[in-house]
Amino acid sequence: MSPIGCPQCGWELPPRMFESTDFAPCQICGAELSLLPFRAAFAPKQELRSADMARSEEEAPCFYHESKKAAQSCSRCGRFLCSLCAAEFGSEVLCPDCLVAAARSGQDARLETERTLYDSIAFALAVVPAFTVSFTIFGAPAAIYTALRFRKRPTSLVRRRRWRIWAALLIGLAEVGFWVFAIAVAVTNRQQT
Amino acid sequence: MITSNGYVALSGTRRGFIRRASAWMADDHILLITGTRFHERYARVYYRDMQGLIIQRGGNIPISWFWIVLAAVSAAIGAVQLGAWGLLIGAFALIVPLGLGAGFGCRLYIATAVGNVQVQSVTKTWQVSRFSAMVRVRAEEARPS
Repeated sequence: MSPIGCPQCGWELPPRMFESTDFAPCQICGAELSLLPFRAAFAPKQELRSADMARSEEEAPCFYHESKKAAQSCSRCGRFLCSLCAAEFGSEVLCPDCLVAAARSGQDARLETERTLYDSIAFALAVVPAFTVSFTIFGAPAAIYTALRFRKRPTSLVRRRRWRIWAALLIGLAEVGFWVFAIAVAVTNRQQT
Repeated sequence: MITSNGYVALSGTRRGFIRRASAWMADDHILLITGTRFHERYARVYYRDMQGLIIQRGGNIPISWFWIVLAAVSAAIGAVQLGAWGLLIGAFALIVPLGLGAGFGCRLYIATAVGNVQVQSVTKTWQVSRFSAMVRVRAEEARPS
């Protein structure tokens, strides 16, 4: 049974909590906790022992560790890897270099840890100043710039619709059109007077 | 709800005025999204690494910004129309959901071999059972690493 710690104080939860899903107080901090254990909690702990990874003369070495035997190969570059270096990644096994390269390139969504939602920023720049009307003179150009500059950037990882970016562009253009019209009317009136 | 890239929405979504949190289920992992309206941070917990779910009872249900706006608007309209009584109605609109939510809050954590990961989108006790029902099947099927 693997040890699971209290989320409040980190103290190891007692074995009785693995048997019942009833709420019970933590022995140290008193936080009322209930545990729903899964299969992995009862699985025997697997440890990488250096003796198991040691290489004999006939065995191929790990690309990164000469003294360790190769257990797998990288799915992308084909380098031989020991159990320590092989990173299981979905159906692939990657070496540390390919993992870093994939994260830097941003081509693999599974390695992304954050995204800026430019579509939401452009939409907010177009819509929020509209409540005050006068601020649209700054908001509209900013919304148009953001929408055009970042229109190809990916949106949220789970939300793929891109209507916000186009709505921001349309609203921004409409606001600019309004200001052009308003200024034209004001200039015409001034010339007449 | 299933997205175009195969993520299924899990029970519980936090939609604050600025801060947001949600949880999504994929074939081999759970995606936890936290952040703001303009920036998202992703954390992935793979089913094979999940040792269990820990529910910490207590606290209040966070009040939705929608209720706060509604209460403020009703107080403003009420103050104009009914004077002090209107302000009382607005305050009542704010206090009732706060009172109803008191004590029904909870925190959900996913226990892994290296620590507990908080699921910030789940804050209500009734969301936990739906969340665990969806996740449990996948976690039990997964081969522990």
